[in-house]
Amino acid sequence: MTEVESAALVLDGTNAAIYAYGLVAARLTGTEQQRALSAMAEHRQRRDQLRTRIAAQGATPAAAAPAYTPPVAVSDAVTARSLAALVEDRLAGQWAGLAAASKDRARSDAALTAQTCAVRSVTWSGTAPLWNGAR
Amino acid sequence: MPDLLLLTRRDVLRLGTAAAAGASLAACTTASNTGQPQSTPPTPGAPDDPDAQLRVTVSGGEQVLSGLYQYVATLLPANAAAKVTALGVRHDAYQKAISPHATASIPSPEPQSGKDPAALIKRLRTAETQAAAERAQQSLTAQDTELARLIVLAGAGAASAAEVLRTVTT
Repeated sequence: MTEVESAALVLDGTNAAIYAYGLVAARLTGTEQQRALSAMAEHRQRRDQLRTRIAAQGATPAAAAPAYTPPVAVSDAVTARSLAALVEDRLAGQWAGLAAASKDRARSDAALTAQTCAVRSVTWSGTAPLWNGAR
Repeated sequence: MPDLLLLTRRDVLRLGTAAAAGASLAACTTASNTGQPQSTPPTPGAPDDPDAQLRVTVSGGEQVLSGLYQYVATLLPANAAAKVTALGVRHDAYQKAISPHATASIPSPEPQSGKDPAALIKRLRTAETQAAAERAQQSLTAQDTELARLIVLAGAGAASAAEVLRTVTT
């Protein structure tokens, strides 16, 4: 997979994560809700950076879908945390893919972003999967 | 409306590769992300493998971490020992994926932390945090992209383990 293809994949996942955090934040309160909104803001920033990066390589970044179907119904705080953990873990795997497809500074930046997503995933789930990004 | 976690075919291939990584790196290196055969990569650890030394270094680091977990687990109360053991086995999986033909020899860590459970957990956290930073740096030198991805994932695993260890009570 080329770097731009990997970046497009991460962009897809990031758009889905932003949508997911809207669902998640609506089911949480207090500090947890703030954490969700903070994560959403961070993913928006990454989305903008990814769009710029993809365009700089001569490709057209895909727009986000109007809505996404979550894999589980988000009906309370428990399911909201599960969804947040899932999307973060999946993003960790996608960022690892982008790191592999990149070189030098871009690779280390993507590697550190994969770590950030993995850490955020376990803050929602409380458990670390055997392999991050494999769900 | 797309599924939130919709997997593309190439995604499935990528994730399948990650899941199988602990069992066989050979499968990882012969299946590309697009499902198309790649140009024949060097056998991991073979003389023509440009990443041979990197594999040795990273898998050695994973072995040290695995050994540290085993050592610490013997000194913790049962509940905490079970939690750290579950985290420690991940390093065996990373080691096998990164250097599948290496013979695992778990070094015995120096008992620097005494037997205070909180200090032992802190030692694990410090080691995981350090490993996360090292893996991000080590991934830079990987020539094989699949190896780079595995090292990045090992770093992500180390970072997430450090976070989980914050919650382990003794």
